Amino acid sequence: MNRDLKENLRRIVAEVSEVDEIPDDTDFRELGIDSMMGIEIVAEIERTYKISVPESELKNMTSLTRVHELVQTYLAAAPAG
Amino acid sequence: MLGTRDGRPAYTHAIRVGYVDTDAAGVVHHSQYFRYLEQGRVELMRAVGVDYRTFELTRGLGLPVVEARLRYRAPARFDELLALETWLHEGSRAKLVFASALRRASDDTLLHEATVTVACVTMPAGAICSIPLDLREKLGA
Repeated sequence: MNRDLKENLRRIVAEVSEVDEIPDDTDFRELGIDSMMGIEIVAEIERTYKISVPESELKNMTSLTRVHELVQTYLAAAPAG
Repeated sequence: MLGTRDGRPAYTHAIRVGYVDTDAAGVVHHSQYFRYLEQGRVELMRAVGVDYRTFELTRGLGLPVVEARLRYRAPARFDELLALETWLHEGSRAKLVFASALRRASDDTLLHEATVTVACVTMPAGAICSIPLDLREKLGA
């Protein structure tokens, strides 16, 4: 389940950024993923997982691992439904 | 004039081509269309209740253009009256994509079509941030 989540997030990041390979810990900026693309990635994650990521977290979503950790946190806090 | 396009608010405003807008060939220079498109976005926002100047001043945010595409179909000339229709084509937390169609008012000839994408930044820092939800909603996103 957890692995599925990470792979799904990898797919979302790859699709939105049009970058084929998204390593776990490489900084998004090194992959050419700029801050605007970062917001698009967050928007797609919000749509997919029905969560809301606050503005203050955007700066922390700097790699796939960080995105995975944050999404796990918000999914755990989301009301069941 | 406020109407709808694809179920979203669409604003059409009149533009009289000035002599200063034209080039040595006697037609509107391509650079002028970007001014018209900017006017179209500002007027659309005003029509849905968002005064852009107030938006900038009170929220400390700006909407810079990050991408623009124009398709020219026919020239416009000095003193012609044009009608520019502007609406939101696509909107998300990351960007607003405005679409527009410019027509000659006298015969409804389509002169150009365009899409302009804007992001949202904090001012004066220029840091990218999310498009405010209320703005997206007012534009029909």
